[in-house]
Amino acid sequence: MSFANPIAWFLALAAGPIIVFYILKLRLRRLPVSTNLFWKQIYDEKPPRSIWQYLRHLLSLLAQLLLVAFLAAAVADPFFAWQLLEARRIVVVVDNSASMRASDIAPTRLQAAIDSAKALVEGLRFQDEMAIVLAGPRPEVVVGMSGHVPTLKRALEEIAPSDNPTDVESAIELGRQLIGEHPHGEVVVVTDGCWDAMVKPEGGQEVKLETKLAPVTYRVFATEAANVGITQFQVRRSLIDPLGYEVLIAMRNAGPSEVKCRVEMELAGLPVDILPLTLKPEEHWSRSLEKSSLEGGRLVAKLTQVAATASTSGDKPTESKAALNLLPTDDTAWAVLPEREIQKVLLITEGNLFLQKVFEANPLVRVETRKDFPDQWPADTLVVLHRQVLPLLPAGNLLVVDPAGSCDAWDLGETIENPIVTELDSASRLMTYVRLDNVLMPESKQLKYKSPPKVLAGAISKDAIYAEVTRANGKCLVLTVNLDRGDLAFRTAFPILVANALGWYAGETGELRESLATGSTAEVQLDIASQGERSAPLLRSPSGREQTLFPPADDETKKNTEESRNEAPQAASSISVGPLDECGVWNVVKSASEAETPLMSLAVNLASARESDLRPPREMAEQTTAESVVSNWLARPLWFYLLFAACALFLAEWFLYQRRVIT
Amino acid sequence: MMPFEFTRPWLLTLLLVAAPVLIAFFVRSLSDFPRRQRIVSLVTRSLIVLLVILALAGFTLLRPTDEQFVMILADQSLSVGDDGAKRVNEYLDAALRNTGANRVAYLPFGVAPGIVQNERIIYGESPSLMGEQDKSPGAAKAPSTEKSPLRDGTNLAAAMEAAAGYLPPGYVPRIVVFTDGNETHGDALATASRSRMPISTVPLPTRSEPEVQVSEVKVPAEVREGEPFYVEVTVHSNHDDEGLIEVFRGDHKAISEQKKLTAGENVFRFQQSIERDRLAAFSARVSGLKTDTLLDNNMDSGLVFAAGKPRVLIIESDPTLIRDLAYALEDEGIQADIRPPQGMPETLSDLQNYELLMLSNVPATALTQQQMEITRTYVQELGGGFIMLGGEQSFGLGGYYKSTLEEILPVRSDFEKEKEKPSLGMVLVIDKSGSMDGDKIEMAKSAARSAAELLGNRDQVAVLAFDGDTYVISEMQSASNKGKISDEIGRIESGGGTTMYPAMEMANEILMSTPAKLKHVIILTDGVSSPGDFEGLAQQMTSAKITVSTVAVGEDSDTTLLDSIARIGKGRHYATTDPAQVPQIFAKETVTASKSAIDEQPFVPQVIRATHALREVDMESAPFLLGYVMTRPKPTCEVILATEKGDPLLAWWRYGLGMTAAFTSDAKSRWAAEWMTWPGFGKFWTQVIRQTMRKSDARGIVVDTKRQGGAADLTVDAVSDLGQFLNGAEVELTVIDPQLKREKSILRQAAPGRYVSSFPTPRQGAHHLEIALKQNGQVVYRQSRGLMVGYSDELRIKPTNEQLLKSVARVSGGAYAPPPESLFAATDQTVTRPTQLWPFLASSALALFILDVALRRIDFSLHWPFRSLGGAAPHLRGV
Repeated sequence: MSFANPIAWFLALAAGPIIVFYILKLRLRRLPVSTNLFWKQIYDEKPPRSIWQYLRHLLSLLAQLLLVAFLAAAVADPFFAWQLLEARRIVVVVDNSASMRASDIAPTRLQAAIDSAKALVEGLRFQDEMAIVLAGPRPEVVVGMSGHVPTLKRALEEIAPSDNPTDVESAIELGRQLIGEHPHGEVVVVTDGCWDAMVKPEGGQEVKLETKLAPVTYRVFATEAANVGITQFQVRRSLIDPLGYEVLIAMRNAGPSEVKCRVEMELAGLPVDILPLTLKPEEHWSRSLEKSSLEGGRLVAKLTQVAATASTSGDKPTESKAALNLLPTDDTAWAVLPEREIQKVLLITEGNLFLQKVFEANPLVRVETRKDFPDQWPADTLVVLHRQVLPLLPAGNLLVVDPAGSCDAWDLGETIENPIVTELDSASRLMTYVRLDNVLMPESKQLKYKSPPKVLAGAISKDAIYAEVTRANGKCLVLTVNLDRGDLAFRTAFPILVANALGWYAGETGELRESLATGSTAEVQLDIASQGERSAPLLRSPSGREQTLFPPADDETKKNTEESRNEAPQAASSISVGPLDECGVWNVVKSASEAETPLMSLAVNLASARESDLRPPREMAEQTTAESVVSNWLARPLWFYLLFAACALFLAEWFLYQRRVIT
Repeated sequence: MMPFEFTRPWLLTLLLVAAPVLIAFFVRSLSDFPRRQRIVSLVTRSLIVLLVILALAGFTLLRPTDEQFVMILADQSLSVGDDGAKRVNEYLDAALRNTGANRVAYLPFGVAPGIVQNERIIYGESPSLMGEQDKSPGAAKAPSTEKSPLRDGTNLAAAMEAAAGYLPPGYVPRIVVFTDGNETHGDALATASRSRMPISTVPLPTRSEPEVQVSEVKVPAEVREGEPFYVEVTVHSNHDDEGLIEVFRGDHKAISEQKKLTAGENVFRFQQSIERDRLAAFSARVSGLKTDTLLDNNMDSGLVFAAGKPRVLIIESDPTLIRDLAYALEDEGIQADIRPPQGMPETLSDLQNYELLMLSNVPATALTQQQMEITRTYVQELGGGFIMLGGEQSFGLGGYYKSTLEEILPVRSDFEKEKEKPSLGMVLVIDKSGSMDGDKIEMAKSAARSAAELLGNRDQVAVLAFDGDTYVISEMQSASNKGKISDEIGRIESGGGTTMYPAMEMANEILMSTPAKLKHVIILTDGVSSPGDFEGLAQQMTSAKITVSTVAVGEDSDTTLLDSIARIGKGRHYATTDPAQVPQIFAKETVTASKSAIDEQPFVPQVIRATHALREVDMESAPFLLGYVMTRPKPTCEVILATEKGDPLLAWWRYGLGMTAAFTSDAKSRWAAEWMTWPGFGKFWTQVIRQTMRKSDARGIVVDTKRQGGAADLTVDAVSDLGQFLNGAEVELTVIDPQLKREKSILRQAAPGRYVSSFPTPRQGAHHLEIALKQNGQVVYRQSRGLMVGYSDELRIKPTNEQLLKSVARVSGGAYAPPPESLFAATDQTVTRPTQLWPFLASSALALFILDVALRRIDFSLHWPFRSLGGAAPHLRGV
């Protein structure tokens, strides 16, 4: 046995005064009495110095010395070597993912799990240590290794439910790391089992220290609860229809009953579609829907009117609506549909109605037609030069049709009378949906390019008929055909060529703003310079929490405050925002003003078929070892038992003394 | 908030028990002390019991503290050089002077966190801190260049997570990271944004030792055939130097130029084009430098795919004979490369350049097991096409029986021997000497069994084995007793010397008494036999119409003698160092000797099954073919053409993702002399090849791969011919790593038309990706991609990533590059630290107890008399 505080044995010196008190011959009190006749009689009946009399005194001393010994030994804090060796290092991994919000276990799975973790804390033995780790998208340490029960309990009470998915394996890995090579390490996972084993890159695992891995035990808090949820919701602009968009929605009926439900969709507050659905048990349902809108905005899908079908409800009349759909988090999903930008086109032509109408027919194009060159070339505008060519081509995006002169990019050659297209770059997106093979291209101009162009359509004579000219100050396409002389095949293909070209000039940006999964972080592009604002933009969560994305440039002192989370360096245009751990639409806004249009919106959904399925895998339920970490005798330090014994002895000794059993 | 708390508050209920006991016995006391003294005694005892119960209930003082626990995270990855170590040491020297009551611990990390230390890390001199791996003596001397698995990477995120777990409550937590910020694993910013404690970052310089590295070889993912493109080689150097930049395309050196390197980034562009390859790996190497420290980072690669005409690789024993077919294919827009069997691709990358592999008259014995395995992978996993043409060295005659290639072919190499064919008597003479132990004897037994299986019912076979003596393993008997023969062969066990002559003599004797039309002996040995008149015996056997073939296994065999026996014995001689080839050799020998697998009578091909693939080919007008190899169709194959006898002529089937075909006649002058002048010849072969080859359609599917930190992300955008997103498709990804390990996965649909997946890339080298997009069970699109994984990211020496370190500090509420003096500076933050009070409570109880005893032993009323003294009779007082 060892002592943590051996110096406390000095307290045993208290036995000294007690023994002194014992041997102290006390002066008897003098009391006048009328007679002492009775004394003799009593002395005859009972000898005054019986053995018991002596024993009573000895027992009294013994009890008092024992009390001194108990107290002194307790303060010396004794412990057995085996207690130290048996001390455990436990990491409790708490799964607080979205599925833990389910209330099939009262009050919620998370609360039940936390209560169970608290019981573990209560069972901590002397010298044991425990840490608590949250299994979110990334493992998060709630409290480091500690043996202090109230601290651990407080940490558990702080755990709040979240909308996040789970990565239990990373949390277990961190737990094992914290346990190290401790001989009595254990990772206890309190979870509902609703997570998939993640695929980890092998790279990190190959170089691990070769440690004995601490065992993992699971406590599963889940029942075979049913749920219907939206597991995916994405919107993407169509590649062919300038106004069109496509919605991908996936649902999962993770339950044993067939259910009827409705999915109601709204775009910017206006109803878009209502889908009545009947989902079979275990059905993964998904559909893509084609819609059209110029404006874009917030697209919301809501799952409503969940009910059992007639056949199912007949079998199970008691099945309530809530029992079919236990998790509300995945009943609403959000997506952000990018707005379509209107493309400005400046058409410079001496008059060609066909060309003009081709542009005007496109709903995303605003055409301005001129006969002569403007004094100043407008910015952000596609310039279409028909026939007329400047010696120095203007900067920016340019489409040259039927050039009638030379410029800095080419010299005009002869006219080729009736070239036939023999070479075609069918892989280029500029040539999508058109077939120009063997099409006659009347009065094509032969151009001698100053740097080799990328030929999109070429004649047998190797001359480029439609080409992309490489230049530093903008994109440029050249079509050398006389539009007025083109045959039907060419005239049919030309509007498609123009539509392809417009898409190519516009780039693919804005076509897809992916809805993110909860718990992720996102890189967003913000043009900070153009904001021209002194105040930093804010990231506003769906529930209204605000976080500053940038600290004010000249106020370095503020950067350590809570508010400055989620910001990135001032100069960078790509900013990392997150963790986006709440379902809904997150907005980046210029200031805290409510009515302001957001600079950028990010839709965040649970979007996890596994989280929506509230049933634990069978093997997980079987793996449960509920009483893996139990306390036992001598779970508490020895001082506790010594004090407890002292307390009892104090009371016992009080009784014995007061009743004169001992003196 | 109350600054006290109870750990076990329920134990306070003890007071409810204690108080009545104390009071009840006080009331019923027999003590004769004055009442006042007894009251004082009661109070004292009550106080004692209260103190003990408070101690038991875990009475704890909660006091606020600003004492800090600083966890120093020290990046010990390879990218941090000696300068970094110096910087940390200087910093800690200055900072630790102000430690005060604060506590500090150290956690070294690399690709994973190391072990927490309470002692200060002597940076750069104590590599053992990183774990067991670094305990080598060499590491102690040169820690900075020692390559340890833990140092070969930087995982800031994992280190920060671990540090948070090690920080004990009761102190103001603080994490300080010394790093260059060049993380190779994990996402430090994401972790920092979730951190509950401030993380300060101190930037360290990256290596300052003279260092030159090829940072990147940038090539376009896909180019058109012949299109010029640039191979952009980025070389980073931290000093001015001069070196030879070499660019290799595959194994061929394309460029070699001496270049001057300046400190910083050097970009060299070399124009290249791809004429014939489908997949080209461009590697750039810098060498001949004046000074350089790490050599592993002097080479890097990039892969480029070339879209263009389909390409076919034809392997033919005599390449001149197949030229006509190649010309015919080129006329139809298929490029054909012809190689002799020695040119059979050894790597998957080489084979991936082609859409189809055609073997024309190549025996199995000319191919290695590895080449056959690669071919199977190419067909099964990468969707490549494979055709075997007939010839005297093809199918069974080529020894393909039970080989890997037979497995992928739609026909079997064994067949029902026709009755009119001459019967064969064969003796297998197998060396069972001690040196044959292990693989060799097992392969020999397997070969002997295969040989017996290939024989017809009217054929006879005997098996002899020899070491110092000769043993009859299996008597001459009908080959129909396959089970018995196989059992007997199984009894051969190796051991003893090598005396071959008596065995050969016995084989001769056995065959002399066997009434077969054809007689053949196969002798297998791996050593040098005791002398004998082998040539004389061979001569004698030849005159008795017995043919002898010899097989030499291993390098120690007497190949000269064996070759001579085979030559005189009018058989064939084989020499191999790979025992795995023995079964193929025996199979080839058996089929060749039985002279039954070839039919050289002219025939007109019969169309068995009309197929879209042969549209516009007028098979009716097809001329005679002059011969073919007999095979048997496999149950699920499609026999398109057959001979007049009903044997398969053209058969194909799907094998895995690819397709294989067997054409049992040939495409050269021996059997197809008439066909070569037939106008449909080119069209027939083009269409058969187009049917069988890998169909790769780049349109409609855009593949993007990104690699970072041991994993690659794959994004596939799929659009139909009409430009609509392809939804609900099954997109299958097959990744074949540099060690040919295959991993299949299904991509997850992430948005309309978009499918994503990620897969680990732990090994260096070329990874082949095959993406197949299926709708309703049909493959709609298929694409191949290559992904080159170069040297470890840790060795890509980049400047300190200050941007990341600043962001980490700011999002977690820490400071970037805090001055050393501020490391332990008090902050506004305080935490409550619990102090357990039980030792004080117990000590106080003990002190009070002395008073308690005194109150019983001394009658204080005698010294300080009270006015009224009550009590019991004086004789009941204390002693």
